[in-house]
Amino acid sequence: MKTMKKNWHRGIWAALVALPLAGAAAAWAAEQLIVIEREAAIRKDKRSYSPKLAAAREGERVNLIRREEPWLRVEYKGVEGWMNATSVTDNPRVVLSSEAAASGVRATEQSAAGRGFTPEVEREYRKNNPNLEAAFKLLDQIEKKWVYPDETVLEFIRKGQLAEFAPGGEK
Amino acid sequence: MKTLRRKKTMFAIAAALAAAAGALASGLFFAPGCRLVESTADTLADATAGTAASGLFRGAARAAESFRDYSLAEEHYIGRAVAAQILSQFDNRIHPNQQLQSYVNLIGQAVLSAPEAQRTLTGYHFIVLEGDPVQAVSAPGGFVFVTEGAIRQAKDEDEIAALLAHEVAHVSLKHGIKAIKSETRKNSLALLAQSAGQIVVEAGKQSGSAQSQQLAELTAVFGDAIQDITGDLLVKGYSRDLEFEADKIAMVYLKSSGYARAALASYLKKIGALGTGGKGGWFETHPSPQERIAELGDLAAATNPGRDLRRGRYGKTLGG
Repeated sequence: MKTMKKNWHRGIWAALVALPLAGAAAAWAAEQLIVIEREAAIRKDKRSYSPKLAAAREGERVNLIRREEPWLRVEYKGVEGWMNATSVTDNPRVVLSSEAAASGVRATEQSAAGRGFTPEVEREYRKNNPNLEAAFKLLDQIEKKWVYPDETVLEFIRKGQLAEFAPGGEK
Repeated sequence: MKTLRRKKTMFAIAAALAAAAGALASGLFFAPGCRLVESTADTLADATAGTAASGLFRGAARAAESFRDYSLAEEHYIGRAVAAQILSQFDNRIHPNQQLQSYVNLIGQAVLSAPEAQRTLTGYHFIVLEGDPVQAVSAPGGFVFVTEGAIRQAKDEDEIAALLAHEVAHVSLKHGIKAIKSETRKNSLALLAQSAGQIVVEAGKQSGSAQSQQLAELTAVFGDAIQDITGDLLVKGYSRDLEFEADKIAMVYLKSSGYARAALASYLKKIGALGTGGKGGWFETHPSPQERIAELGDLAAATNPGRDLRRGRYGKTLGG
């Protein structure tokens, strides 16, 4: 009887030790998010064109500090700032692009980097559809050359009295 | 005796710690939200567990039960192929006026200052096509196409913003991706599971011919997905519900970015006045403008103090 009581006590102690540890482990796990944009900005303020403090590449991890949807307060390589919530996932097996795999950025061992619908599949598709070659080449140019830096967009927004530069709300 | 008890206690603690670690490793503690490819991941995990053969079998079997979700990376490549099809239908006639292209792109990027809009792998691209038919269409991954005819119908910058916001909403809401038929999704999921299973379990033992076979199968399914999307986008058009949903979300983006929400209704009114007789384009793929204006409700009547100011640069670019 006495032994049973002692065993019961030991169980309680074990649970008391394990539960906070499990809680700490859960907190650690919840902080880890994987970037799914090619390059995701970490910004000073909760605004889409607020100054960029850092940029995390696809497949890299950021630490979640708190959620204020659609924004997330994150930490990345010692820099703390705001990131759009749709730039990241907490799914460790997310399918990343081949570029992420080629650059050595790999979120987890389970991550399906470079599989699924990838540039290799696109190359095969293009071989099978030679009539689309000119269109694909135009898209390559557009993606490479039609790039609008944050400063240019912000100036356009400012001059147009848009977003945070709007003189007053809608009536 | 005392040593034995101590050992038992230590064992109990170790067991509890192991349980906690196990729960952590299994992902039990991952917080909800932001799950883009959960069903894929689960099936993939099943497929990669155990031997290659059983993994493949289970992966394929589970694929029959669940839909395939696509990551931003996959949406990007699907989107590029859909965009190539759209461009090809317009004989690759991208409008040569670079000033116009820049202006429309900057309006699109300004709309994207709305943080509610879904990010894509490499951002959004707004492309003006030559042609009079009033047409706007978007491909997954953020490729948005508008004809010069659609731009010319807008009386100011805010109406162009409304048109682009509607297309961004289609991308954000993944309407193109949702057009991929369940059969195609199942096939692509099974192939993804197969690919992962072979790579993880066989670790490089796969022969060159097996790899080419796998790539050929994946490309065939990719082709099916593109056909499913372009069929909806360019032939049938999205359902009325999806169009109304895109309008509703476009209003959110307009408000967040500071553009006039009333611009969507005023643009639709103008399009409605064109009538449907033999015009083609927009009218073939959307519910009637009158119905859409009615759905927008009172929000469409809001006034915006900066709208007049933006008319200046609109006139400068479009010569209005």
